[in-house]
Amino acid sequence: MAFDLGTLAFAVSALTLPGEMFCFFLVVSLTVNLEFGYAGVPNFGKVLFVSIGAFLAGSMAYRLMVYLLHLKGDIFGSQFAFIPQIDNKLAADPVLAVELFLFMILVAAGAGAFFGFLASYPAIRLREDYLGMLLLAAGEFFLIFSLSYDPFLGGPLGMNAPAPIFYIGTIVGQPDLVVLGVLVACAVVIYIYAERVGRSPLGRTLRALRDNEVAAEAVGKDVVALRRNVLIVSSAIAAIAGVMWISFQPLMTPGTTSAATFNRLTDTFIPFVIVILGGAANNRGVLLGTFVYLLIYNAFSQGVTFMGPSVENALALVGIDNIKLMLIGALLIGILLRRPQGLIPEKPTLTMSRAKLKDLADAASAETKKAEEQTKPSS
Amino acid sequence: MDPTLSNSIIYGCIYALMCVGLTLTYMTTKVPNFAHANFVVFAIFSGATAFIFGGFSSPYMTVPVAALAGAVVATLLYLLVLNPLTKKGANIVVLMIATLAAGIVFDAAVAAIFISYIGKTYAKFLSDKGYYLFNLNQLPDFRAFGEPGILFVAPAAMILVTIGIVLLLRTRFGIAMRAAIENPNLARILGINVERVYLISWFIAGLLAGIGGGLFSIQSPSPPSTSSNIIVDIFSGVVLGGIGSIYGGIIGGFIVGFSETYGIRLLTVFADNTWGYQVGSQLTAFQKGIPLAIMIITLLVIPQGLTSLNWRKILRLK
Repeated sequence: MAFDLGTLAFAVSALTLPGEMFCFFLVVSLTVNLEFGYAGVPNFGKVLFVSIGAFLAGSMAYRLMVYLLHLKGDIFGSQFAFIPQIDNKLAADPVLAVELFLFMILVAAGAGAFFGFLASYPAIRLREDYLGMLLLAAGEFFLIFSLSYDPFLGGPLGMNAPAPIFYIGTIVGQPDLVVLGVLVACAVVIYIYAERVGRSPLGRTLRALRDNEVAAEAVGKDVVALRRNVLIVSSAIAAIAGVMWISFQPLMTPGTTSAATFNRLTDTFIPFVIVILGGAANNRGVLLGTFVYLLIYNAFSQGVTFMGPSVENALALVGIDNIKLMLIGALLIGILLRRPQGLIPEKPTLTMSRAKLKDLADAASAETKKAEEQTKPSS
Repeated sequence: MDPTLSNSIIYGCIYALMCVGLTLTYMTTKVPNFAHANFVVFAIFSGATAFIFGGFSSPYMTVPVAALAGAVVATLLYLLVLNPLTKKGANIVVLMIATLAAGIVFDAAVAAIFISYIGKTYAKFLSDKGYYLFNLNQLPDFRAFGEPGILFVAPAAMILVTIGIVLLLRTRFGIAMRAAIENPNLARILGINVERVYLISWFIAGLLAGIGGGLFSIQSPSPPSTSSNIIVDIFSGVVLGGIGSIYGGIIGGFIVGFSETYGIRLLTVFADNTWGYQVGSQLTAFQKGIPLAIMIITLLVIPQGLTSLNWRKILRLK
């Protein structure tokens, strides 16, 4: 049989999780690139925006479903009784599921934009180091807060976000594939948007602002508005990335350890690794960086398994994940020391060649002459 | 003494010790060190290991071990990462990202060496001693005059460190350090070994972070996620004190540590009395909001910190 559906389904299921991770990291890294690569704003509180998007959208969607289904009881205590009912409702009513997903995206984008606007206030006024400290501290505060304030997410045990796309997928019969498809669609749309911004005059203005703020201001660029808009847009996108994450990992456990759903390591540090690895101010670099990062990350585990049980056991004693983290940290420092421009360096904005400028000028003067000749007879 | 008040004083002193090191390296090498809290955690676990395995009678004997561990880690970070990067002309954002990466490496090293390797190899020994899987509760403290010993040791350590800094700045080395802070190029021309000054300031910063960490592990349970908790206070203290003066770290750290512990107590008591226990018990979630709020207000009102103000003028006006 030339085309085996079973093999295909197996291949897809093996690639689902890495694919979903790829989409998530690509989107978060694109926002880091927009802020840090193009506009030169180091947002060390990226986890704040990603987790605000996910936690607010997830908990509001859950509360909304509890309200719509008229479920009685404590929303955290009877979570395990509520979840199957919500799931059944979503599976039975695809229109509601689509609406719920759009609602989650809107809530996340709105919350992200609002907090991005708040963060832009210090970002315009402070030096990079103070801004980094403030945003990092704000991110840690939010994570600690959502862990210890029980009425928000139910405390350390966390909360299950409704998974509308998954239950739209059950109607088709391939839930994982549908989730992956929606995430890929989101990532593609956001990538195209980021690429358009990067190539537009706005992208060049942002780079000029990053390289020399005073010069950009002197030629009449509104530095304050530009920085603010970049932070609002990229924070909204980062919050949408949070919704993307809970679409395939619906359990939201808050906390500051690396076991928590969102933490400083995966949502602030790794995107910076990806951007610097691939090359800042360069969306293709981010694409390559995400790919290379996930390749290294997964290949390490595969390689350890391949080397046999003796190596595996020796490494398990110190923890394979810990070794991986140390290697990633060392990799980032190595890149900063050896190849700070990344795998794909930023391309300088080329001015047009003299010949082309001359052609353009000739064409323009020919046009004015033509216009003058046309107006002559009438006057 | 009211336990809230004594806890506030203890935390104030510990955070002061942690903040002063960050201010010191910030002033000398102009690196905003995002790995400072990770020095503390590394020092805590080194000290605790020495305590558990060394059979020390008092947890205070671990403080020198913790201090040394912090100093070694800080010196390594400067020598292996920050010095080469600065020589390559890296800008401040690159240095920030490098320290962030170093912090991740240190945290992973703590998890690998202490929690995973020692925790698994000596699992039975550890659980017999009451530290199953390196679950560090407060190390056993002595009691004096009906109070925990840390209430006397932490302020003493802070005062000794302050005196030490005052004396250090008056030595030949201190003058060289001040010159290197003021104008590194001019100091180089005058024959001061600026590199050595930088290296020693990183060593001292790690040492103080380690002392702070050693005392912290006696005062509070310290899981590996401690770095996430204390980083908010450390940054807030440094910003509040201002980076114009080394004493800024001590003042800022003390105020932040004190007001965090005391402020959350006042807030919960107020909420208990006004809205009932249900609300009051939930308010502890806002504990780290206090240092964050202090940081935001400082940045809005006095961005250069408390030590930038002309106190003589302010006091004379009153």
